[in-house]
Amino acid sequence: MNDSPDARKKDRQAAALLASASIIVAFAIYWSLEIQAVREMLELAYG
Amino acid sequence: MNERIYQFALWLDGKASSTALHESFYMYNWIESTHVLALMISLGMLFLIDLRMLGLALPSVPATTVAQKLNVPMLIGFSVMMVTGLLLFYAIPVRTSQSLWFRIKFVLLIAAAVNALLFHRRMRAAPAGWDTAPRAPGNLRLGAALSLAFWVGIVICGRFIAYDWYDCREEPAALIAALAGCIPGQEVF
Amino acid sequence: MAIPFGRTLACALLLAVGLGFALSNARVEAWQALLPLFEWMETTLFGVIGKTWGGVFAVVQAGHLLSMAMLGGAVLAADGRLLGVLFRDQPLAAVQAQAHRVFVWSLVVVVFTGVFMACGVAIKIYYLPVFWYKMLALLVGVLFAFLVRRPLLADDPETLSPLVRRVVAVASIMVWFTVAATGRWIGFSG
Repeated sequence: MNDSPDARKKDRQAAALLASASIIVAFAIYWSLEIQAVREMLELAYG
Repeated sequence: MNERIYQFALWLDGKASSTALHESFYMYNWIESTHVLALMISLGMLFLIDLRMLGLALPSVPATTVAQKLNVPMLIGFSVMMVTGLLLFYAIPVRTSQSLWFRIKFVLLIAAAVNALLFHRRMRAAPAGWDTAPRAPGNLRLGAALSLAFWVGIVICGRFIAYDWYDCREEPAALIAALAGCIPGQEVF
Repeated sequence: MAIPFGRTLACALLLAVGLGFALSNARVEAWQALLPLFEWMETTLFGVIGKTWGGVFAVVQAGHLLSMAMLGGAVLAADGRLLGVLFRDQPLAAVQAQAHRVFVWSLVVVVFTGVFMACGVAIKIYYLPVFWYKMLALLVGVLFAFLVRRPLLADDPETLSPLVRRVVAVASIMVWFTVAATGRWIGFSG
């Protein structure tokens, strides 16, 4: 039972922090895997 | 003129690095991706400036602030597009120099550059206090609308370069062949 | 009545569900179940136009690029303000609200032109992993923009902690960059 503007604001900040951090981590992993795949491909192509 | 362009393109085409770029496994795709992604920075900024002048975006931010602040990322984006664009031309010089779309794009680019120069001159000459109004004065709005139109044309032509409808190899109608600068009897395409 | 930290809990739940979906067999089953939809897409009017007239397809593609540029501009302006590198002297709330309007309109055009293009090459993209990465990034981007970023900045954003501001801006730029970059890669694949 806590819907004061302050609590609502804290909730929104925490949600934003969680979502943003997850996005940054997940997308960093995605891009590093992509870069890894390209490097392997280049190695196969040019040795 | 067309003969000279063709000779120049042939000379570029003879360079080993041009062939290497064209045939490389990833490089060409990367350069093209960078060219297109830089669009999001340069045209994104440019469109925001143009829409601000037309009263369609960021109405509460002064027009000169929008133009000045977004100018830097826009110019960075344009530089990247210019460099990657030249490399793309260098990788496939003959076909590109004889592409009708590339030629239209080139003319539109010059038109957009002249328009941008005129726009900046008009912006400096505009009476004080104009930039806090949601819409810019008529002559600046005209410049902004022209800028949008030129760049829409440039992107469409850029996209069309990839299609071979009017390539000299396809022996297009005489008028198109003349505009594209096809050389009768040419052997390299 | 409101559950304390309801939004944060909902966000965590959604993340858990998404992760469970991605790591389980449900992902493959959902993919297989979607095949008829993609087969149908090619038979729609959009699909037939896209496959028949290369010129129309290319013009729509140019529209897709242009609206993507507009979207990129809106994202960079809004997130640049959030990071404190652009429009520092302008009120945060006003810049966010006005950039959001541009963002929404660009998104509408991006999605519309995107659906048109997808119909023309539905079966090809159905088998491309990069297409699904892009759709995932787009979904994440839209959810993030409307359910997290927008409510966060809707009231009194000047008092937000600088850390939250920066992290939100970086995540937002990252998502939309990925949407654009994977989109470009679809063209090179298959």
